[in-house]
Amino acid sequence: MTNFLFRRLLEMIPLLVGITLIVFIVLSSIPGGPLTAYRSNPNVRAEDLARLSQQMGLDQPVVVRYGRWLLRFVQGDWGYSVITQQAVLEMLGQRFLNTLYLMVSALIVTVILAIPLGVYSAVKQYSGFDYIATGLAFMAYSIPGFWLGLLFILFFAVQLRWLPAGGMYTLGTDFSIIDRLRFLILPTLTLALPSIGFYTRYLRAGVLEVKNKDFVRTAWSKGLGENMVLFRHVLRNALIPFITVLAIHVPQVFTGAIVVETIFGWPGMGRLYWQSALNFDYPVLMGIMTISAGLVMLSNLLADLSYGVIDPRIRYD
Amino acid sequence: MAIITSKPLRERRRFIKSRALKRFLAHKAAVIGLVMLFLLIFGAVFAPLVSPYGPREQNLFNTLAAPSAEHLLGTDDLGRDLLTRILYGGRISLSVGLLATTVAVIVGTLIGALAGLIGGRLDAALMRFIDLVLVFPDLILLILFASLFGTSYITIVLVLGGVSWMTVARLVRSSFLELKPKEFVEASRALGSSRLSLALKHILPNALGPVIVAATLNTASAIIAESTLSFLGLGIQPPTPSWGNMLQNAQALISSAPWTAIFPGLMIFLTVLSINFVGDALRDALDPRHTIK
Repeated sequence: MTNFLFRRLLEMIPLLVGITLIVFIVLSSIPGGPLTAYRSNPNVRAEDLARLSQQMGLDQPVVVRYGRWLLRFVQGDWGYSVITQQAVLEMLGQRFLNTLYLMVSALIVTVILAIPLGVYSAVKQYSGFDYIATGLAFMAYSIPGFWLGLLFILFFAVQLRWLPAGGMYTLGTDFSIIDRLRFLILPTLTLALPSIGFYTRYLRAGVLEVKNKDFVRTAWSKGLGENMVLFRHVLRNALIPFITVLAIHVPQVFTGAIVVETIFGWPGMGRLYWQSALNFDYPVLMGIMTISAGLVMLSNLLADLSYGVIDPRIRYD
Repeated sequence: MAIITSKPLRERRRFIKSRALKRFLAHKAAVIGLVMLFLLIFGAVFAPLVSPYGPREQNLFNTLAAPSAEHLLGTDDLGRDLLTRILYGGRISLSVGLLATTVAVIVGTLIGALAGLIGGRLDAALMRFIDLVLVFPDLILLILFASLFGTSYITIVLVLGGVSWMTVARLVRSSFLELKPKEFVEASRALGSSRLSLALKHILPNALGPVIVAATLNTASAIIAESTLSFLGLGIQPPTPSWGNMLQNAQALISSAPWTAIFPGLMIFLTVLSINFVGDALRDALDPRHTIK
């Protein structure tokens, strides 16, 4: 197990290097670059620009520049924002945590709601509940996230005034969990609802497939109780593909987070990415793309590890 | 070849088609979705005939008017008729979705066929490349490319197609891997068919079903992606209306003129829902492994 984990983590390194190299080449074609601020300054002469460009190593081939970037990157120097001159790592730290907080909270809500909805729909196939749940799931899956966010703001913040329309906490107050949760509800639901729709359908299909397998019939004929059959035999087997898809879904959740953070003014990495793209702030873009790629790879690894917990037939070697 | 297209096979084909049609029509939601899509396309194409207003026709004396007999869905912050803009916006949103999917299908088929046909190192390299692309959330790539290459209609179509061809490529490749060793392909090769004619005549037609399904669902996600990009200001630029960019100001206007936020998004939702219903039914109809419930 430890061996497997170690090997998989090692395998991620060349992949990340490849990805960051490609991204670096793409980003280095961005108009502007780190000298933008100097170029628009009439007091900076052309020879100064050339000297600066030489000092910063911008006259070097892109692969050499990438090598330098990588060397600094592993030492924790992720460069400086072209716009705010802040250190990228410093800018990303708190924002990354904020995004993670949002994504994890949405994932928890998704799992808590989708598993019972999907399982119950499948168990009561073709019942009224099943039709309503699958119908709603289909609709939830088809809603554009940003519009859902706008509707939530309209109903729960503007009309009913139950919840805040944006931000992460009430400014100028002490930390309070209730306050944090109130700010968390709408962004979480906006992010989670399409996933809930998707997974309810997915899990329903999974349970239906397992439900009629021989080993389930055997379990019934042994006289096991309904809960025993459902949880120990059916659900456990239906959950394996569910976890794979959950991991594959992480990039989509991140996509959703960009939208949700923008709408709800959530100070996260997604919103920063959007702003940085508008400003061509490439050191920040580079940092965020690296983190999101790493996040996706880690989630795939996590999925691989969780199979073993759910299905003891799967061994790592 | 004349022997193969003899009567029994043609009849068999017709039988398969009618069975697929029957399976499709068994989905009531999909039939409703198809009608909805037809109406949406009709409204978008014949927008000038349906609406007495122009999409950029401003009336600064009548801004943010609530829905009324005169303006069925109200007006926006520049006094433009919302329904008219939704109809014209449909032209952009629907056509971008369809064209982006066309790009995705063409690129995906080419790459998938190349990988499947040639195999070996090229196949491995192309598949690794797909893995690399899939490491990024699609909106990350969309935002990046839109900010790099600009936001004209054509670039948006190409960018959307450029981040969504991977599913088709994998489907096409896997049908090549599945069919290449089959007897009928071997036989055709023994008869001296070239690689290209093998691909076009025998393998690609077999991949058609799953590709059609993937293309349908891809259209839905391309429409959502376009509207998201446009909403974020990195897609189709105003004053040309698209369902996404019509929502750009909606957040600021949400308390004073909620209809500006509700209706354009409702159109996206209904379109995507309809396409997803159709795609679901197509999957049932075209996938032989599925059986009628």
